Amino acid sequence: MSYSQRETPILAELCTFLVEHVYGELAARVFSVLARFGRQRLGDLSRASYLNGRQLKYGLVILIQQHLVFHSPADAKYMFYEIDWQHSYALVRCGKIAKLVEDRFGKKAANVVSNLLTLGHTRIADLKEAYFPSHTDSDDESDDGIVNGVGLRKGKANGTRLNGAVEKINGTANGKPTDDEDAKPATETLANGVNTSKATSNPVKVNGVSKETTDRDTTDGSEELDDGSIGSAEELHATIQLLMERGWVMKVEDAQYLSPGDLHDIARRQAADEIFGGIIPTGTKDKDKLAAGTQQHKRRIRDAWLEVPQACTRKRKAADTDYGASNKRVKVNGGYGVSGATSGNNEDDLVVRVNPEKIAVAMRTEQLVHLVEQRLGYTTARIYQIMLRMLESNLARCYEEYPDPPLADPEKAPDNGIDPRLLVTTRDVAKQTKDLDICEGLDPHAIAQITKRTHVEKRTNVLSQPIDPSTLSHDERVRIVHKHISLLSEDPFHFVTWHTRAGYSQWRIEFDEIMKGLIQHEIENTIASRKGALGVKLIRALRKKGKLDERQTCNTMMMSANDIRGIVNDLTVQGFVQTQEIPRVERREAKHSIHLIWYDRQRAREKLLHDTYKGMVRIMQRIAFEREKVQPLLAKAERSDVVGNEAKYLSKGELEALKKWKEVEEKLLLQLFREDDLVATLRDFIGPLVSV
Amino acid sequence: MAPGRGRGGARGGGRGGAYNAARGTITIAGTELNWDLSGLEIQRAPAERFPDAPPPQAPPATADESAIVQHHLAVRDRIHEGPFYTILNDGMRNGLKRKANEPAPTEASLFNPFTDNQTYSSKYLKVRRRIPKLDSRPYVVDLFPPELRQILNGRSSGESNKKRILSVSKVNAKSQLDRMLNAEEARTKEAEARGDDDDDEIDEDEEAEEEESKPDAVDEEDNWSAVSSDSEESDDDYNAEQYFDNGEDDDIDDADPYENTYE
Repeated sequence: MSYSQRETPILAELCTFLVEHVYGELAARVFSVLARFGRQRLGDLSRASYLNGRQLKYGLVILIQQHLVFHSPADAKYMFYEIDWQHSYALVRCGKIAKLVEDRFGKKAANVVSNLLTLGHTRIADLKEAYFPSHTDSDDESDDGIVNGVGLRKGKANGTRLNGAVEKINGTANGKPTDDEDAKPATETLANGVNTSKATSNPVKVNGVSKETTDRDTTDGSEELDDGSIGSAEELHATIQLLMERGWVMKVEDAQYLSPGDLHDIARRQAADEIFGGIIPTGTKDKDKLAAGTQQHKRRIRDAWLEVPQACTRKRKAADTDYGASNKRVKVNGGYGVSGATSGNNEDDLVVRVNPEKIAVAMRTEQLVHLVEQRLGYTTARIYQIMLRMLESNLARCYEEYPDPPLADPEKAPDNGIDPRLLVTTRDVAKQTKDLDICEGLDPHAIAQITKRTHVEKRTNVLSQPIDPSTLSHDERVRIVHKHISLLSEDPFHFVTWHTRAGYSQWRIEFDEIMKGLIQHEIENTIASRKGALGVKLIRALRKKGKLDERQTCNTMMMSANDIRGIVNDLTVQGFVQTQEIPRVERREAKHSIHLIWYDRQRAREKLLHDTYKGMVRIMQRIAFEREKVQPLLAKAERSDVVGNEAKYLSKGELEALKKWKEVEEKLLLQLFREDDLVATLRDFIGPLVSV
Repeated sequence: MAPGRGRGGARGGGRGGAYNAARGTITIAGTELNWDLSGLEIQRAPAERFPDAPPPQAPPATADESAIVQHHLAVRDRIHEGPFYTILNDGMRNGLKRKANEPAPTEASLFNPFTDNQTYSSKYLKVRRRIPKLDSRPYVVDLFPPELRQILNGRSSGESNKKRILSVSKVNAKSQLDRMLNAEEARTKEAEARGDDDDDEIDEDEEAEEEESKPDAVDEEDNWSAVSSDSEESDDDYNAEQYFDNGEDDDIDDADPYENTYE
């Protein structure tokens, strides 16, 4: 059977749907041809497609601008195009990316990032021109504010706030235009009105504890500061700078457009040039050396993208004095909160885009926090969130995509120890818990023991006198936080691992082990909902014992063969349990063979991932179908005479239908994003596992 | 329990599931059970082949999740309103060549008799691009392969006087649908208090803008709209279409009889 007769791979189908969902039909048609036939030249494309040459070229421009296809280096003899499935898949995450950035860096950064997502890559100069056109003085801003309205996301939990605290105390100098979304008092307007930049601090009740909000920059008189709009070109620069330093935004270089194969060739050639003077070696050992060198070169190429240009950093710091209104703000915002300096051409020419690897790191943080919240409670989860976010800026990616080949004997490997940047001390965490009721979620006895100001009532098992967390001394705080972290480390998932006693206690997070556990957890969740507790029992038994035949399975599970068979069959059909048949005699007869079953984590993971992709494809199809149903109505609502006059032209029933469609679409998208979370867990947080 | 009694019960009942109240036993599928099942209704009819099984419902969105959805919709709608979004409407499912045995989509097969008939109001319909408008924004041309640079460069030399600017949103935008529904809600409250004359002025302004900003692809197939809009713009009082327009609107919306009066 020829390739074109086979069914399209499910991931290709999903990516095509996503491209169509976001960029429309032309881009998706061109993408679908590439997804179907793989690496193609323009001529091949036009042969395989019904589109004409102009359409193909225009489609390719869109796809390249948005990083959805790879192409060969510009000096290549033939220009090949190939889909970039990772970036195409990442289209599903654009909302998530904006949300993650908003949680960490505030609305302004979220605004910049969502613009970057919309535009693909862009020169900083162009972006600045777009925000602040040089001829007009951004006069339509107020209009925008009215039309687009107030931010939707006001009633958020204190994620941003917490994060603000992270920024504040994080040892390295890092300023940022934090804007606090929960509090929008009149003081803000006042500050804007007098056009001074002063640090306002508003006491806000959170979790019943009064605390000081983080400082915010009210640097210019823009009236929509609350909406997260960027006030000035300097602010834009500062925001991009901050995002680049944290690794959320990266440079764009030609090499990012190289397909994995091209990248491998180039890295291999570089390695051969460097190690063997350009000759591809033939010996086994030399080949291994070349492979290691290739990986090293790939890493080098990739790491170069993340480098932040140094020149602007220095400039930022020097310029800060221009705005240094209060000591506090300077201290808090460190270097580059706001800069009044005109930036050089060098920086303006930089081409930037969102870094997808960092997104995975942030998603991992969110999922871990969510899991901890389910298992250990809200407060402990917040403390874990503080720890993870402290590490986040030091983690460029979840796992090394180009690792060194494993050594022959692992004992000989040089023990590098652990990078100190991947360690967190309890003391640092405790400093950031000011707005948290840290006594919550702990054994009252532990609190009584630490604070010594209260005791536990025998009968009711509550503290005789409640502790106000804001009155705790630093030392007590550290010890209470230590109790929380101990909870984390004692959990079966081992969310943290004790490292040394520095800073009361120093912890590291073994992401790889936790992620393996998380994958297993997801697989078991799936099986539990499909086959109930017995299925999970079977999987766990097989995982513990390895390959078993039927009798051994019965013994292990302490059940009769009849009860087990049905489940074994179902799980085998679903791909979670593997089977093997070993003949005992020379003639392969079923009667005389040993039938083994076993469980392979990697295979189960791939199967579940595949199923999840399928689910996502169906959601996309469903969205398209539901849209088709209301298409005439949507077309009517978009009519130029209707826009703005909905009440006049749309009947009540039509408005109801519009509302209904909105709900349906949101519900389906929500499910899509939830499945995307599962995909991230299964695919993005840890590399391929070695099969057992 | 003795098996003999069970068989007797079954025989006495003459059916599979016989119930003997005197002995307090029940025979189901030939097995005698000693439980006291008085009061229990036993389903004698065959089981339903497709029993009603409601699908599991997903839990409602948390605040974070709905924020994610809103962000996604906002970004997507901005892309849809941008220069790259295209709708071909050519009846093909993907970009591959048609198979030899598949009929080519014809005008007639693409025509939906219920919705595609041109009416007067279709001149207001939002026009979707068929080919992306590439000359509206700047590009980093070096990143594109040489064979595509032509498209990006060629246009810019032609209209060098027109400056290319990225379109960015300066605030975190809402999704379009939201804007529509919200504007709608706000308007229903003050609908009566509105001055009608203002409305119509705004309307006309919008229309004029719409005509100007229409992409070139439109003109090729939609010449009917050009004709009617010309008549609109020329303020032709003797235009019969205009007369009917007013009449139609009154039929649709009888809440306010003065809504569509032209001055």
